[in-house]
Amino acid sequence: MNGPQDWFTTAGLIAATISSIVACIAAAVRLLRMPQRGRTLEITAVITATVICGAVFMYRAFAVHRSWVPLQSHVDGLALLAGLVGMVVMWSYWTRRLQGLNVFLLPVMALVSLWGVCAGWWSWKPFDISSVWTSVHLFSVYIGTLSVAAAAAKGALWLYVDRQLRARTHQAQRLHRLGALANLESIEVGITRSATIGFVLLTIGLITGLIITTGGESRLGPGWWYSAKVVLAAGVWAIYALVMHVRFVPTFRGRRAAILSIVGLVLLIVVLGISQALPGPKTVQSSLFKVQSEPRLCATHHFELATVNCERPPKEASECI
Amino acid sequence: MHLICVGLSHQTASVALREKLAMNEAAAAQTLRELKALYPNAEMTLLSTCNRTELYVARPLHGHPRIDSVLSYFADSRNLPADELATAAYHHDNEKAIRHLFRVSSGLDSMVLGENQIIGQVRAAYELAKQEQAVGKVLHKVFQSALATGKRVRTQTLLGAGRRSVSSVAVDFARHLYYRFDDKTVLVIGAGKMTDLTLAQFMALKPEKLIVCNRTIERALPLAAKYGGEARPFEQLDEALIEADVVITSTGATEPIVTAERFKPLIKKRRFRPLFVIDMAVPRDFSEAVGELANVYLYNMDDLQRALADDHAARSEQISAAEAILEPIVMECYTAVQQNDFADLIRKLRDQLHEIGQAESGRTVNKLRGADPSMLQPIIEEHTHRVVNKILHRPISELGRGRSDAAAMYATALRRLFELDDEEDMDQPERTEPR
Repeated sequence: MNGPQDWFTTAGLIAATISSIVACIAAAVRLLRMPQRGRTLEITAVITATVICGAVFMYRAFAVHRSWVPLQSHVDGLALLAGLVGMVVMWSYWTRRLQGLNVFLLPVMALVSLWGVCAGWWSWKPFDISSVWTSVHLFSVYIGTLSVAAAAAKGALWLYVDRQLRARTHQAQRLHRLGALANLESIEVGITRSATIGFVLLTIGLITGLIITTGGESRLGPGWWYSAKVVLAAGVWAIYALVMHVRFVPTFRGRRAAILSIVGLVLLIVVLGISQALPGPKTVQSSLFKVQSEPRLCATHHFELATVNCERPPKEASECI
Repeated sequence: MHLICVGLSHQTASVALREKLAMNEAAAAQTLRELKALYPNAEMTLLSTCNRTELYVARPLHGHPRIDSVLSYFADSRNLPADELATAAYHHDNEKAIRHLFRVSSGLDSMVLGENQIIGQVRAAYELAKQEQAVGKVLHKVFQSALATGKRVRTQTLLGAGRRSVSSVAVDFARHLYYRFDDKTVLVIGAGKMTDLTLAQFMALKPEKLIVCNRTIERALPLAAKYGGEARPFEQLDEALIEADVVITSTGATEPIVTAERFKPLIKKRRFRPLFVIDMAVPRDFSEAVGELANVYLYNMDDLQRALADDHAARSEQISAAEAILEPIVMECYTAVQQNDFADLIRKLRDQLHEIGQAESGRTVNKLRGADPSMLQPIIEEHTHRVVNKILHRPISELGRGRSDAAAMYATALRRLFELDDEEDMDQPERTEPR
């Protein structure tokens, strides 16, 4: 924790996590048991969590960083992401086009908020946003991640609706439940749209990451192109290229598209984990211990290819491994 | 006459078993002919729908066919395992059989509560039995009452009001698969009444294209023309399946017309598009394995009707009202059947007694010819004595066979019918022991 003001961040994100979990439980119970009851509780909890995430994000921009530039650390990014997920959930309530998406998006919101708590507690570090490429990279990665999460939630919803449609028992109950869920065609279109947006943004993130990596500030070293982070980032990109082109590749319709969208999110989380643990081949070769113990080492917080976040203030840019 | 009902329905048998026993009109007529040849003294009506196959029989009290014989016949004629059939089958006697038929015709025993189609099916079964001369006075009375009661229940209760039909449930399921229908192709296989009803629901969704495929193209043409579709011969079914997004099928085929082996090569040609299939035929037109294939959503009658099962619970009040109407009519019908039976009995008794009387009269007249007038009285007394003895010979013989239950019953009947007891005793029918 850096400074007393971070207690507010932590408390806010914990409250957002609890609200998201309450909304999540209410949504699940509503779907499985009583579709008509618990809606008010669910909506109230979602709004509360979204407002808290927004408040934390604004608070951190104006009170912690004391700057008009909002996105300055990974915690900010996670608060923003959780808030955006909450807004997508509210959008799904509003349009009713993708009914049931809330059940699968709310756990993502809870997870991201919880992750924000952990990130604020253990790995709070500001981004180095001196370059415009870094800003573009951060924006595309965070919004791209949101799209990926939305695509994965839609994939899970598709699989659930498919299962309900195929089940042969309790047809009356299932038909009743299906009434509270979107149809497969809409969900499939939704997966393709989210995957398309995610793919475009991740492509931008990948390109800007490459620019940053090869721009002289790389901490990945000379063998960066075969590092686990680069390979997995390329893997995620490839999966999203596939999901986006599902309409044109008939073999990957339906179930396969849904599963791929979930695999894409899982892979993204793996990339993040690896990027947190293994900054790059140079670090692995030189001193992994140094990565874990040295407080001035850079720690990437996303699947981005380049090192974009360094503990502030770095004495020199070259000190970032 | 003894009335029995033997059969199985959606409540006791799976669609797999029901489809093996289901019969079209020709098969039902053939079955009636065969059964009538085997049991000429019995009246019969065979009701076979997608949800039930039931044989109603009115036979002499100790006559044939028995329940076992009927089940054996069905097991043999349809190549069914006898034990499987016996497990799924049910039977009812006399007023219970009448009550069951009345419940069936009222739609109380249907999976879709209060549905109208069953009354037409009961009527068709009755007409077929009449055509095959398999019905007599008893089944005429019972089936005519059943049809009238079915109509009365529907008009006097809200049993069928506001309910969803199988067709509307099919549309509900399709809506969970597709968002829009204006870019979809609907394929109809078979041109029967059921497909027409379901198609009407789907056409309200304004699909882009309609294809009607039937074995005889002449029957497909009117249905295609009615909904602005295109009729195709059965030979082009595969091409139609490639184009289709929704398939509604209800043919009279006895074997599945679309198997997994037939459909698998079409999946790639369909570019893995989802396919929604409503199979309303019994026996089924699409084999179950087709429904296991990726992107194929196959629903048969059981699936659709199960979705309506909760209607029964919601309509318990209407069910009670319908049963309240039903019960007195059942008893009235059973009484009428019994009375009809008694009328026959009385006529036979009268005829028999007259035969005895005439035989003895002939003998007495011969004796009277040329007899002395003083002998007239003894001759007449002897005549009366002989007539009475002949009439009472068999009843007394039966009574003399010991203190069996039957003898006790006959003794009670004699006492009551010929007023042989004191008035006090007459009021106590429980005392059944013979003197």
